[in-house]
Amino acid sequence: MKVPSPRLRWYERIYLWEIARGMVVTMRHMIRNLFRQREMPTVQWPEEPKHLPVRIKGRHRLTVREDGSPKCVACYMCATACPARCIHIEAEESPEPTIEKVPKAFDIDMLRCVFCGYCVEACPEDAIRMDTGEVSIVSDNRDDFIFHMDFLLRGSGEEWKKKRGRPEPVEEDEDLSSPPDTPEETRDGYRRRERPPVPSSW
Amino acid sequence: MPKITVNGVEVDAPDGQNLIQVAKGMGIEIPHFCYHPGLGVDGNCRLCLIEVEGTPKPQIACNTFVREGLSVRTDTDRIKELRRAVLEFFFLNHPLDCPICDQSGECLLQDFYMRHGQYESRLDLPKVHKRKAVPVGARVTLDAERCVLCTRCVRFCDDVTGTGELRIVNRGHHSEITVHPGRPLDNPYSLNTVDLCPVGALTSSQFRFKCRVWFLETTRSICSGCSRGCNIHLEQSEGTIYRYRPRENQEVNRWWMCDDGRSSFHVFNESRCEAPLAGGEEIPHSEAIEKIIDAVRKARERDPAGIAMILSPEMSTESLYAARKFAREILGTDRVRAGSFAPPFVEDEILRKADPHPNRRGCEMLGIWTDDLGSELERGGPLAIVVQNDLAGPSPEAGKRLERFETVIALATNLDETTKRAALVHPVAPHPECDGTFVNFQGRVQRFRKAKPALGDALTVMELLRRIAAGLGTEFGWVNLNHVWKEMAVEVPELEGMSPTALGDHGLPIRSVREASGATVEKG
Repeated sequence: MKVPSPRLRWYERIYLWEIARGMVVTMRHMIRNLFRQREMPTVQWPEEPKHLPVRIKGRHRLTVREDGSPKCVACYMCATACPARCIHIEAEESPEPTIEKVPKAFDIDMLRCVFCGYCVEACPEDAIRMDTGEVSIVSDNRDDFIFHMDFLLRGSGEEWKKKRGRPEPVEEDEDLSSPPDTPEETRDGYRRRERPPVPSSW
Repeated sequence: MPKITVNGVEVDAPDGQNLIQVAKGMGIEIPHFCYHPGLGVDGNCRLCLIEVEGTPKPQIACNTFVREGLSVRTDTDRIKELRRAVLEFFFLNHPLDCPICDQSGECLLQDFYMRHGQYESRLDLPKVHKRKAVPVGARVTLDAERCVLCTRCVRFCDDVTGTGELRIVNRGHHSEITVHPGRPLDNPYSLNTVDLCPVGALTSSQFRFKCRVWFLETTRSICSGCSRGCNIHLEQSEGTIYRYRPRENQEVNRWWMCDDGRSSFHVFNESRCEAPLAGGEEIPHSEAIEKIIDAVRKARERDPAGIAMILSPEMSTESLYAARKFAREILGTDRVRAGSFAPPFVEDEILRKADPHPNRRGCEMLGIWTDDLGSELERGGPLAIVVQNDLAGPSPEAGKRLERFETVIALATNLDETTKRAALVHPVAPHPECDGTFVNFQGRVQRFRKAKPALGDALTVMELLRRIAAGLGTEFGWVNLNHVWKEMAVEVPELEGMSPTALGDHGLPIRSVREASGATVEKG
């Protein structure tokens, strides 16, 4: 298809007039911004905090049971769902009789992670969440980008909200706003079944 | 062969087969738990229901045998409804702990629910709980809640090993599998119960929690644990071998394999030789090849007949052939010997053989086997090339005798006592990392396939010897297995008329064995 180019007038062809017209636009914005700095969309990050949406997917954290042990049962569902193959789990036998399988190691390679959130979707135990709000993961060393279990277990969404001085969201997401250590029954009406004690003869 | 009709299709079915086997041959799945071809018909799971013409009530397919004029249907609405109802009973007390169950991904209960169940649960009573994660033997873990009571494991211990450790105790929905007090499930074939178990009730303690099964890649291979050469599925993920599972071969191992064989893969995961070594220091591959060529050239100038090539019954037949040709044509020596100092295993009447080597018969076939490797080493010489054979490990005396050689070059898969004593070490690929064949004690040539890439700088013995020969001015022209086989099938009379393709999945007997069995058939 042939697209006819517009016919230029003589003053358009010498460009000087057009350059001057362009500069008028630039100068108009510059002078206006000098007097209306508050309304400018630019954020002076990292000196100024960036106000992120409530549901933004930040770096992962592993949630804990009431006794502080990880909720994760090392079922590898997150590692299976992960399209970037960034989750590496090693499982082991749990010392507690009511829990069968626990993670020995749980590493996330943040250099491979694409922040898709499939791991959170896949988790049957609500053991992994991406509600820390930490989106800038910075280091000068590749090893630092591999987050180990002890680091992932630390912190919660709440801490981050305080630290970053995030204003109260207008519309609170019900699930995310509830503290992470609320007992299971009260949060979604789901009762965990209790296992019978293992006979001591075995 | 009787003519029968399955779902309106007329087929010729072999006499003596039951309807599960016939349907399987036609590509029709009849769900079942308790029937297994190796254990026979038990008829307790009641899941394999089919409609038989002329019979008012549904029949179990496992106990319906082929007879002339039989007409059955497996796909009627009534059958589908009945299967769903039977599955619902299986699920009544079955825990839904699939995410942490090692069987999930290869669980028949999961598969059947997805294909034939798909109902809404009607149970509003609490489930019956039983013992979980109980070690019933040194290698097997029991989860009684997950059990469907098909008794495959019980019948295996009764009928195949004859040890009878497992039993079902209690009645009704309190029934569960258990062992007799003080008699754990410790027979040398106990892990077959784990394969037989259609659900996650019996799991392997060794494999437990190591890897989810959907990450595993399966390759048809051969167990290198003993001279039986059980056919296996070799399962690995990202270069680490996680388990062996038996692969059916009626001529060799039927459906089973032994527990020792199943743990024989650890040697391919641990303390591997990954880079060439000179005096214990890592050197680049190109430098190592040059040094080996130099050493061969020097030894050849001085005393070619004194050079010894020590091979191993762990090597593939192709590697043995390649090494024999290399020794005779490049080194110019007749001292090509294969032998071993490894102690014999326990032998029994089911599968296990005393000879711990997968390819001793292959060495004998090529005329290089010696029972007295010690005196061969005693002679010494200017150069010894030891291939895939740890001489010094099982026999310190042999290690001392190695010192009689001026230079020792080890082409090794693992770092061991022999590589410590060698001046030059080059890594070679063990059997999971290359294509090849083993000849088992029956004289059956069996193919194994490359399951994973060779570790580090390792090369197959064939390729490494080809490169050394090329450096010394002779081009062997081997690129892959088929090239060596083309030569071998001509030069080794026992392998006449064979090719890797002709071997198929179950292997072929060597010529002398084939003729011997053919002769008996004619006489009979």
